[in-house]
Amino acid sequence: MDRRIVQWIDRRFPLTAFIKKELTGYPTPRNLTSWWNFGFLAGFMLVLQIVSGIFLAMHYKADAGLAFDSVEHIMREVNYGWLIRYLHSTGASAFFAIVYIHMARSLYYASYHEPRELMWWSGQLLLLLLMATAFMGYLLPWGQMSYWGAQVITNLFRATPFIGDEVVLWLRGDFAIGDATLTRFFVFHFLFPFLIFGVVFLHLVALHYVKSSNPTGLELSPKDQIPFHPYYTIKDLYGLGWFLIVFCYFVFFQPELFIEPENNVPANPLQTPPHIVPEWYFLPFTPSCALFPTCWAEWRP
Amino acid sequence: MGRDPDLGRRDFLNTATTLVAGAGLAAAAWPFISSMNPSSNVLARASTEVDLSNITPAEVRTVAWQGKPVFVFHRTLEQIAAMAQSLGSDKDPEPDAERVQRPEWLVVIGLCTHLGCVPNRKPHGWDCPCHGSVYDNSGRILKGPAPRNLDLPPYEFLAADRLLIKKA
Repeated sequence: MDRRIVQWIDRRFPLTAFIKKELTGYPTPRNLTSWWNFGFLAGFMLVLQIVSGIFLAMHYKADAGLAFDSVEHIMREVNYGWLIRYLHSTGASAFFAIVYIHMARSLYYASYHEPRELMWWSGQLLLLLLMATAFMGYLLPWGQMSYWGAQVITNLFRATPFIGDEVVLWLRGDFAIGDATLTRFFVFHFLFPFLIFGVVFLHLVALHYVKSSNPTGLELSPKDQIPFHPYYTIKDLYGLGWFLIVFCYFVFFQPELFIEPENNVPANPLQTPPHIVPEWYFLPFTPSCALFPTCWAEWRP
Repeated sequence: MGRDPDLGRRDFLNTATTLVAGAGLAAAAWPFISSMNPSSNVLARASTEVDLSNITPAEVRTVAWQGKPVFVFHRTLEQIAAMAQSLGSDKDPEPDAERVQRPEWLVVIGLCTHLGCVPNRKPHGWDCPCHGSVYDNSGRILKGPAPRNLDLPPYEFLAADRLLIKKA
């Protein structure tokens, strides 16, 4: 860019200073392994999910009578609709896989230790928001799995002390999962990623204050730090290349692996499918569903 | 300090990597851009078939074609004769014979060429309610702000009484 334009901006906005502080001059441990790639990859997945989601929303209808058919319309009639939908549905799985690896790295290398506790806790908040977003997005295709998954999870709130029934009714806006539930889930599914974006920003503000952890678990001296750019921009992009190879294999060759066959049957409030299974990324939490209502049962008057 | 002998090689690798990444990004953007174009079910509705058998002489039938009104005008012999004698106005002179495939059937897109309102039927042709453009019975502009005659859609006669207004 013309130096005069940059100087004009720099007098009014710290553009060059920001790039120097947070990118070209940002000190990063020189011994980071590929396990430190996954934060960047999670950020990439967030952007990919938002972009593909916006393009899906241009063709999707959040109406109980139209939702299922509008997804088929996307799959069959919209140009590259199949690709955008498979990017989004496979992307959900990829996002969770990346986030779980990111968390496993933090646990294994004790990245959450002082002074990075808030990295961990803002990450926990991000995980909760991600789970809520994924759960509400799963209702939108309005298939059998969508419907009964939402039925089971909203029923968990029946465990709320004293007012469980009222809370569930309020969440659904109907006596069962219905049109009102679908429309509000669509609204929140659209909104939450932008909340996630905001919390990711806080996550990064904290990161750039406490700096990255590293595999030794020690705080490195300045001579063991290298600038983020070009060393880690190129390493992150290199990792992205490998990730995209794996991701695209699933998108193009195994996209239905992450879509239950039963979800290609339109939602039927009068018939539960014989086998209800959550998405793989919710499996660790599934057993707690069996426990949840009973722990609180005695609270009900 | 001499020039680093590796520098040319590095520049080449940098440029090549950037170009490949840019091409990949452009290729990845295409499906998203393309998804905003009309989908196949919309394209399937891009042509309209009209049954002409029940359009009486001097009647104008307005049919929808690609979401736009098309005037199918069954002209009488007097109307045809009157139109054959003029070229419309100086603004967009055009012989009537070049605006029709069969003189008794005038097929024009019913959107004023000024700003796209639907002109109203009058004995002399059409008047646009928005800014007063006046068209004759050949759909030619006579006066008013419209810059040219009413546009002609692509069409063909499948039979004596069946008209197909086609994709462009």
